[in-house]
Amino acid sequence: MGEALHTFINDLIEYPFLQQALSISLILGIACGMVGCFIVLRGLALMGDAISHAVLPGVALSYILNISYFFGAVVFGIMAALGISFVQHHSKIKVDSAIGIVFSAFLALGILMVTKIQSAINLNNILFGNVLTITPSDRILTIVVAIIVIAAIFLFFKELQLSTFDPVMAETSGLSVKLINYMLMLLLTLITVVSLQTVGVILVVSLLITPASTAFLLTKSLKSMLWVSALIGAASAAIGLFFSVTYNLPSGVVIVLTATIIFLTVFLLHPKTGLLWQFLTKSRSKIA
Amino acid sequence: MKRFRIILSFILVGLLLVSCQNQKKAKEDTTDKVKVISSFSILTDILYQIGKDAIIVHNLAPVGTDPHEYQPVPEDMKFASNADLFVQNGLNLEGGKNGWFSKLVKSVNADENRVIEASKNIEPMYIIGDKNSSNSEVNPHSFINPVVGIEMAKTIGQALISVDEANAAYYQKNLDDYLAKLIAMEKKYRESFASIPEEDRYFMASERAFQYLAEEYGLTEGFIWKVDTEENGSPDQIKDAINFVKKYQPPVLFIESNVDSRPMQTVSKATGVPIYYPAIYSDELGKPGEEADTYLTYLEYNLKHIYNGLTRERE
Repeated sequence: MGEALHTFINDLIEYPFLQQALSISLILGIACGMVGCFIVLRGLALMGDAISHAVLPGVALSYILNISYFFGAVVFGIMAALGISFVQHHSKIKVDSAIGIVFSAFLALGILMVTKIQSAINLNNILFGNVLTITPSDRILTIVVAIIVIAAIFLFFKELQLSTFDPVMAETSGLSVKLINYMLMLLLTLITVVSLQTVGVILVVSLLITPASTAFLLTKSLKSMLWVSALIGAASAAIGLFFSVTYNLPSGVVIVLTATIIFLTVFLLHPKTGLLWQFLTKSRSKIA
Repeated sequence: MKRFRIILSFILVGLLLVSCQNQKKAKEDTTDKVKVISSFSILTDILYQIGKDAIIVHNLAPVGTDPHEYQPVPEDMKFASNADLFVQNGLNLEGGKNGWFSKLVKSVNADENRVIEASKNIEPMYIIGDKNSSNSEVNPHSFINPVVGIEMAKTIGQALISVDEANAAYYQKNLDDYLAKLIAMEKKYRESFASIPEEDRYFMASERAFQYLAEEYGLTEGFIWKVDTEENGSPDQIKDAINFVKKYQPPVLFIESNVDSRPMQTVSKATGVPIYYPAIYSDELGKPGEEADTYLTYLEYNLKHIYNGLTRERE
């Protein structure tokens, strides 16, 4: 393993593509990890998944209008997010069903548009990016968006915190909970759309949910959850890329599996709530 | 003001990250052989036929996978970082300017002069629309036609000479030898198809990959779907295919090595026209050691089986 690490570091020095892959996946790991905390705490874990599929009509429209995918995707991502919260707040339908209704409708509309315009749009190219082959313009876009997202979380930490845990209190203290929710959805859409082009849909969903959930098991305050989640997101990216390069495997999926292994480790071995200890105490009490 | 300080620090970090993104290639070549990246098996073979032991070719989309959609892995990227020449088919086979090959080229900052399209001298044919329509789509499968293969070999030979002038004579000689074989093969194609009676020149396969071949040798081409990347075997496609087969009564139906054969089985059942086995090859070579593992044997294999199929007695 020491030797493999040595080789990895040498590769990292030698190959610019690897430096770029590492820097992009690190910064996305951090940004997604942080946004993910609020998503997980609000019970919106599948929102990222929904948005990443709902952007398709926007992509098709951008192709027709001959503009960058980014703008169309962001517009439709936001529309999907708004649609979901509209359905949820104006009926007794729960949020998971609202997500299912809206995102499948958007995805179907997108496929219809792609088929009708018979373009050379390749669905796989849009939905499955590759962190190893990120074009210079996508790279800059990703960095700028990730920094905006992280900065917004720092700037509006108090507002986000209050509206997440105690919306009634937040409303009475003069905060527009609605506005904060929309901002969170905007941040989520932005980070999802840039991640889609660079790392692909599976990795976005994983980076949004898994590190935040792991951090949720480990921490007691939102502030520490944010830091731990960002750290786990970044660590998954770095460790995943290391294994991907060492064993010549596709990078995105290895990063996803790394995040999953970190989650499983915490899930099983957490000093207080770990499943393993619970199991052991149970069997011990049985023997006694 | 605390928030102001936060904003300022993020802007600084951003500038730092963006600015350190444009490094140049870190290391020069370690071997004196010319390093070539090739997008798929047919190009890899042509490169080796001309470059022989003066070059090392790294093949991207492996045999058995679709060259329309390939996701490079770390070893591919390492090789690409130091490659002297990047060869793709072009004509949208690798997804065009937003496709995976272009992304690979851009992400390693390759010099544009070292990126070539083997089909750059080929007049494109269209699956959808034509060159004047706004929503046209080019058929990428030009290399199935040996006339195109000859042009591709010339283009690839020229590219090797331009990146490695010291070995120009060597490449030229290999190219001439190879061209002689390709020209002989092309002659065989022309004679074989000319000998098939006109009423039997109806060729039916799953994907519309054989357009260049059909146009060149006067075959009427039937297909189920236009290109692998779209829906394969929708009810409408099957219906159109069945109508084609009923109308023209081709002696057999062909399937390709790397497509799902079930839609063609449906067509076969509905029309009573049998499927021809073995499968012919469209956008890949056979596995190493198999019958069609070079471009020349691939051409020979396809000719043999298409000829056998089209001249078979109807049942």
